Amino acid sequence: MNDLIVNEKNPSHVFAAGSTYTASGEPGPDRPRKASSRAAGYVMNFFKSLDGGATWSTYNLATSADTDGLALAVDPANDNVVYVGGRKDHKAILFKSVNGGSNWTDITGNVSGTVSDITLDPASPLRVYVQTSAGIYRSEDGGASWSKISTRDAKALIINPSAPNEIYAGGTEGVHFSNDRGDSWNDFNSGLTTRNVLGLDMNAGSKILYAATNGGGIFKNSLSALYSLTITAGAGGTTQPVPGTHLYASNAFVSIKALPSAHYQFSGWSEDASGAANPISLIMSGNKSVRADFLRIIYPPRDFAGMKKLNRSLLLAQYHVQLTWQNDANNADITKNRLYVLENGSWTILAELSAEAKEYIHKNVMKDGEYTYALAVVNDAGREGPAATATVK
Amino acid sequence: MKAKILVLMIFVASAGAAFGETVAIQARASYFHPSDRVFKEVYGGGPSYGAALSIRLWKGFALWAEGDYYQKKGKTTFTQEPTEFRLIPLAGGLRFDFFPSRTSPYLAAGIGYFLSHEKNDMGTVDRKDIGYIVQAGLRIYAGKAVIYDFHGNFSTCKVSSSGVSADLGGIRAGMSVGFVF
Repeated sequence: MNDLIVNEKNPSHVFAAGSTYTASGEPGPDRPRKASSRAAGYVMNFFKSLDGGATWSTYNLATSADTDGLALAVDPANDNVVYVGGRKDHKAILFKSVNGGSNWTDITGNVSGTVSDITLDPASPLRVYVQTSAGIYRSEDGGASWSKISTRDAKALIINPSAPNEIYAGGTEGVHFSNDRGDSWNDFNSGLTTRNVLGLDMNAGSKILYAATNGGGIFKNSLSALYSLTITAGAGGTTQPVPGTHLYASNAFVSIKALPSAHYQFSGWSEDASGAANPISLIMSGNKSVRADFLRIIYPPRDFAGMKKLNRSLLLAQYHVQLTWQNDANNADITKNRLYVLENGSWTILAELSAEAKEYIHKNVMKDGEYTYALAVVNDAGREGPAATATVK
Repeated sequence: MKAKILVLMIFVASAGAAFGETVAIQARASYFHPSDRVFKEVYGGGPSYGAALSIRLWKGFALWAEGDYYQKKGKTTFTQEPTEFRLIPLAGGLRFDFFPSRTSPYLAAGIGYFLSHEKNDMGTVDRKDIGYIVQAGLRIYAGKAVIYDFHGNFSTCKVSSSGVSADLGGIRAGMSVGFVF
């Protein structure tokens, strides 16, 4: 037997996962799992007792030998929904039953590694976490599909019952935790002198996390020493970690990266951060809030060019410069074009034209003069983009 | 050579004998077709109206003077902005009537005084320039007091303005009707 669960709402219901040995390949009496006992005769089993352990029913999950049931999860609201995970030739194997074990469905999918733990989100039982030697996987649909949310090996995972978005995972690299259901992770190893964590548990009332390590003892850390980091992102981008409120341990080192959307650029941090360095790092010495702002990239007009032309009637004539360009299709919210001419070494606004304009005629120029122009677009926030230039002789 | 001169003298002596009026005043209408490329592009041809006066000198020779009025709107060459042009060519010279009779062909040549005015976004210009004109026609007398004149002329008046050159002349063809005294 490798895992055992008692239904807290109905203590007479007891469940276990393990394997049984049979020389003929048929299920037989359960035997303790031993490293040396992984012979061809072991098959993965689920055990259920509805009378407090007086009698047991055995369910054979795998059809082939060399399988082992290592982890078990039961939906506390409906203990007919059971997940059993383990290994088959050192590969992950996952089964689910929705009728108390009578029928099983292989839901292994893309999960790899040896399954060491299965955890159900108490607030949303369809959200299932599976820890394996290859990382942590999450399913939002009761095991129908899986997303890998961490590449660290994990032997234990616990969800804060008071804040189900907050999960803690322990493995060979210590404890790391996430405040967004595993979308992003941070180390939580303050005071943890031995990093090989085998088990985790939490006292939600006193906000203490316990970690059992391999040979290093048991550690505890106060979760009340967490600080919140509220990240907001302006229009045109997001951040990593994602915008929202995240909890970090005191003095945790947090890196935040701004991720602009297409045709946007990161413009800077505000609130408890400043500047435009990306990513930035914060030390969680208290509750903090950070805002990332983005600006729509303004592209200069394309194919900006000019040509001198003679305009005449019969007795009057002037030279004009005909300027032409194309507006960049990647621009948005452009309100006007602003045209400059270089005069005596400084730029002077020659004209402000509609956003749709593609031509301007600079009238009455010198026949032999040289003229330099700059054309920029202005968006609805009044921000002027980089200019395209053209010189006409 | 002497024979040619003699023939010419007889030709001249016979001219203006039968219908040689002293003074003729005519009103005329013509179509003016400019010869300058830009003139044609900007304004093109159009009607012109005027008057002519001739005074018999001797034999088939007469002093001749005329004035026309041409006005047109057009568009400039590049920006296609509106432009207006007015031309009043005043011309005077000598006319010679061949075979003076009820139907008399003639040739005339003289100097033109071209008054021009142009206005558009580029400015306004008024000019007075000298040019030349040659004219050929056919005068038909209707009775002793009325005369019809079918004519065509070519004029040239080259000017320079605003750094560009132009010719205010061209070909004019039309008819006139007048009275002889």
